[in-house]
Amino acid sequence: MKPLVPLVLAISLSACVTLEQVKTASNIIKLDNELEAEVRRDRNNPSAATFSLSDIAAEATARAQDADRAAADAISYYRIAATAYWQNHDPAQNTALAEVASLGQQACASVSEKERPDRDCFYLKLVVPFAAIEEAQRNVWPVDETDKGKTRFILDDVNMSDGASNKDIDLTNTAIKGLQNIRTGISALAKIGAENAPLPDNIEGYFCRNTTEAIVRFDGAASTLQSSVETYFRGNPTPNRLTVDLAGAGKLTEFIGTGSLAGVCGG
Amino acid sequence: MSLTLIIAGIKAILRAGQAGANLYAEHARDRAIFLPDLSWPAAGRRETIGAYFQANPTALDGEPLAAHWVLTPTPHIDTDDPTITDLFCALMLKHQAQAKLVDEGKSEEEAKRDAELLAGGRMVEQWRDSRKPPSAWARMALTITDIGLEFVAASPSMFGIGSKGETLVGSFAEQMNTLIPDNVGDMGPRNGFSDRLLGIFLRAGLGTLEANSSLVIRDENVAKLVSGVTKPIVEALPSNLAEQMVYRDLVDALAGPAAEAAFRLLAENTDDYLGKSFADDKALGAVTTALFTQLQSTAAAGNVLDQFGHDGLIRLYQSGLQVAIDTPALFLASDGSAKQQLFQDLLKGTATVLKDNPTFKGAIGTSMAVMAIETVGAHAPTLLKLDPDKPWELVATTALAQVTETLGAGVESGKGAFSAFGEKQLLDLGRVLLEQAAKTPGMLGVDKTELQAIVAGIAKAMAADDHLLLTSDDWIKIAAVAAREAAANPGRLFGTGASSLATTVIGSVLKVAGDAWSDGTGRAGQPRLFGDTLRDAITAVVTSLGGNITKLKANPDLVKQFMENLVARATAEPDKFGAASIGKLVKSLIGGVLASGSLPTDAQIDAALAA
Repeated sequence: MKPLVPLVLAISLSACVTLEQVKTASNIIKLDNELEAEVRRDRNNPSAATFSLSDIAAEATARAQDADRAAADAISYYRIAATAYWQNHDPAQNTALAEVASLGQQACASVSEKERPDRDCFYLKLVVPFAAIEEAQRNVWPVDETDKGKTRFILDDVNMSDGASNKDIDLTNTAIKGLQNIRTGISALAKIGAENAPLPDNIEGYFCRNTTEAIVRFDGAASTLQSSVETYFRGNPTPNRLTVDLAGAGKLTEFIGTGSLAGVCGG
Repeated sequence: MSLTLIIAGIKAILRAGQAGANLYAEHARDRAIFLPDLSWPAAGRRETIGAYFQANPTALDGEPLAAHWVLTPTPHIDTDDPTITDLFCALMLKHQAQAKLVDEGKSEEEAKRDAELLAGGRMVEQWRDSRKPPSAWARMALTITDIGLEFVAASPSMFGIGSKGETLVGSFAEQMNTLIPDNVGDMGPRNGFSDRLLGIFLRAGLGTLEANSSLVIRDENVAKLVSGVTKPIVEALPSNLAEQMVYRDLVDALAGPAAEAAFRLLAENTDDYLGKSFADDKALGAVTTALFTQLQSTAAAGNVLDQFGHDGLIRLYQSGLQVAIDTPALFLASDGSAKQQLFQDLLKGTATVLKDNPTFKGAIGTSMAVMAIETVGAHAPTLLKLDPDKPWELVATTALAQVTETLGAGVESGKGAFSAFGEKQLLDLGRVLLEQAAKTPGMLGVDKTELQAIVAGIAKAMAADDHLLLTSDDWIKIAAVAAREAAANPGRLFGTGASSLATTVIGSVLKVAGDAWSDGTGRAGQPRLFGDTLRDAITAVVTSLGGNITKLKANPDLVKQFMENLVARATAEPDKFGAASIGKLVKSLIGGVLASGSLPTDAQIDAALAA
């Protein structure tokens, strides 16, 4: 019976591998479902079941980093982790977000092009710029102090035409910083789009819809900033209390336009 | 049983299982999953506007606002001035509304018109809902809207498409830019005051329309009213806080009535449905500024406000406006600038005159002053032509003084007819004398004048009517005739010296009439000289003074003798000489008596009676 021992071992090992694959697949599905439920959850309804985005991110990260994990599965887990960190909107987790996105992209690079999951690998490149844009937004459109359920565009409270008050200057400088960061995020997105064109069919719509909106919103906000900055400098302020000069402002607000996505979006 | 076969079978089963697991794993990785979108907060107002015109640049084609739209470095509005932003917002709303209406099936033309209304309405309501302090424009627009809405509720028939109410509101809205300077920052403390004032005037206008449904108030009149009346009140607002307090109180008390006075003038004396016109806003402004400035300077110290009270001042203001409407040139200097001091001098002057004549305090004093201003003002161009160095406002004040001093002294004395004169009759008496004097070149002046002599003469005659044989209306008629004859015969009837022929002859007739009453028998003695007969006799005698009076001057008692002769005849032959006969005889014979110096013969009497 000696020849039977290697066979028995081989059979046992094969069965384990199959079982593991099924378990992993189920875990990925479970985490995806929990992630979706939490992101879509009506946060005003306390009775809805909650999942901790931090916990989802931590579990997904741990599973992705399991030594025996196949690269394709790890990529899925990194995608889930990155999304969970992004949607948690916790600046303390920015580093973790960037880390999992990077690790995920490394996992993508380690598989052959044929094996590579296009959608998740492309998404892992987008998630950090998306999160950065959203983080910058929160300063330019902060929560309205008088109506906590709403946000307020800070430049709506600026009026340089009747003289630049300290408040006008502070709000404008905040807007400048925020829009600089948003522009950085949009530039990154445009570069990703250009470098990966033609985009995978299953994510092209997602990328184009979100990047187009980002450009339109940025251009609208930048237009407002330019109005206030020009009005300010028209008064020949001495010294200049803004964090940019007129030329710098012009560079920041320079029109991007959705036409810049030609060749990537819209065929 | 072959071992090889068993092992092969087991491998086959495992491979099948493996294939299933592989497929399941692929499914887990590749299934459609939820990817969250990049979320964006609601767009701010300015951002929405900028984004709209970036996406729809043709919306600015042909629009004046296009001058504020700059394309580099990014298409943007060249200023963050809220006023300009509001205009862009209105244009955006209009285009959006237009597109929606066209989508719903309206024609381009209808959609354009309705879109303007929709967009305008939404913009005004946005201002109302905005938590920011409204811009000067927003505040004014909301004021106008709110007042219009008051009237819509109270008098719905005034409003509707193309209605007079809507037209008037539109006219006022067009005048917003008269009150808002190009640089809104220049408004200073007037920001907020001017829209309230415009609201007061709009309310007065709508009130006038409500009361006069046939009246049409033209756009140009509203324009002149706002620039000539509302604006000066706004501009006179002092910056000093203490002075501002006093001024605001005055405006609160007077702006509404002043506005109503102005609109009342528009509505009064209409020959056709179009009503009067405000000819010149500078003239209106001169009167208005004078009123509010004068009040400011004397409100603390008294004087015009004390003398006239608020109601009186408004009446004086209205009289000034009336003159400014009828003859705006009276308030303008040769270079076309407004004479700001003029109406102030009138107010001060008339207040001083009346203060010195307390008989005419209160409403009657105001009425006298109003009459003096309007009467002299109406004839001022002639006066000025005769003597450009005699400012008409000074003439008016002097005329008022001369009338009130003399009549006041008479009233104070309580003698004769004065004891029966009520305020209305005093006013009417003053009016007939002033009107005649004002329309006669040279009768008015700033020194001792014919008017003064006439008033004095009449007053003296009135004081002699101890038996009150004439009513106050009779005296007014006599005064009118006397003034007319005096005007036609300068220096003859009422000398500027001590003598007054008219007073003498009136006195003579009165004496004879009085004697006939006081012979102890009263009416039973059948005198004829009283009431209408006496009045007509006096007016006939006064009129005759315009003829040949050589003999009268030689014999001042001639008239007395003539009247005594007639009374004696009437007493002797009462059936022959009734009241009508006496009247006829005086009228037909007095001229001959004054010329010949002889009393009429029986034959002349009979001939006169038979004629």
